[in-house]
Amino acid sequence: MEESRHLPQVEGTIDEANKDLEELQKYIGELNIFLPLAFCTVNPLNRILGVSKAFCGLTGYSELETTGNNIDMFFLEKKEIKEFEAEIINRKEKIEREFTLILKNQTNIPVNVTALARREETGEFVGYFLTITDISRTKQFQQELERQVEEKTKELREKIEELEKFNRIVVGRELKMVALKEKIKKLEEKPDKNDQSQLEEETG
Amino acid sequence: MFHTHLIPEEIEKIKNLEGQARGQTIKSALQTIEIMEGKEGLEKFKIRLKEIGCWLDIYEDYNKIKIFAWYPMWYDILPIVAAVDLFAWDEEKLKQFGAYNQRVSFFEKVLLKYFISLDIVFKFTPERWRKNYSVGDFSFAAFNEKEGYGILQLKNFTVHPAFCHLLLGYLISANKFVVSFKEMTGEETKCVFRGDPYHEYLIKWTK
Repeated sequence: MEESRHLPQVEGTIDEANKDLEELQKYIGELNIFLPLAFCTVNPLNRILGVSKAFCGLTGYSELETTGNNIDMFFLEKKEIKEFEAEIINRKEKIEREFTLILKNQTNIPVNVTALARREETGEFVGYFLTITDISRTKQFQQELERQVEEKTKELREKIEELEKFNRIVVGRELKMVALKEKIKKLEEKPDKNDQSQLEEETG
Repeated sequence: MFHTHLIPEEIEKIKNLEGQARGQTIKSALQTIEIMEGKEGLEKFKIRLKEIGCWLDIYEDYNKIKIFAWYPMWYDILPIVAAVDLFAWDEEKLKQFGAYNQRVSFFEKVLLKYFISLDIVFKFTPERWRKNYSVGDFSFAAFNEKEGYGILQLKNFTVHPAFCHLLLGYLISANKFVVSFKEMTGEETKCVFRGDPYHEYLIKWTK
């Protein structure tokens, strides 16, 4: 009797909770579509459970082609990604690393990978979130900057070399001038016929 | 070859099924029809549902289905049987349908704690089942990691033979999430439609 009296109240609470969950799911769904960030949820065995729209857009794979597969398949550095996976389990904070992503069309692009472990209240590791950021433009920009710096350095080195050469010539000439001036001075002090003609030869 | 004909008596039988299904199961089914048969196939399927008098407004746009809400069982089972009938799916197609249903399910994506190891997936199959259906009692009958097999039983759930193959595909797909074995197979070793008291699924894997 007591139980049946409380039943509508319990049902009402469950309905409310379901509505809240519905709202929450809608919110997650909309975020998933809207966010330009490629992310996926991965289980402790590194199998993908779910991916965002942006993940499919970046890799070229559909949701069904990715779900259930090992995350390793997307990266070129097989050994390093294994080490990264092992590190995720032991870390409480997010970790980042650069890898090469293999797209469906077999193109490779540099990416920044961020992972954060997910744990139960008991602390048990239940998987992780993984985000992938395309850094090919940043890398291109960086490479262009490095190329420009290298070019400018080369130009500068050439200018310095030129300047050094010029300096050597100027200094050499200057030294010679000083020596000649000294000789003139000496000759002026003791005028001699032979020295005079030698001086004339040297000065042209 | 598995085939079914959706005659009015069959429809009536399905409409009288007991129990409820979560909106997620209906959404997954419609989404998977679109994956397997394309947008055109899904449109054909909607027309078919209207032709046989089984149209419901929630079938119009699967993205608008409330996945946590409970609906009468037939809302979920009838579209599946209608799809089998329309697209002439065989057992393998139905298994694929089940596997895709599992992969697109929001519940399966967010419940990470159920997908951390093979024994956990087996152990929590009854719990995951209850999140989808109000009836049917799943139980975890055996698990032998060394020998490479697990057995699951489903009692008090008699909806349609097509569902048996779908469920087999679903179970294999869920288990594949936690293994990297070369092969994982399954078979329905007992079935109420073959005169057994319950459904029994044997899942095997080789290292």
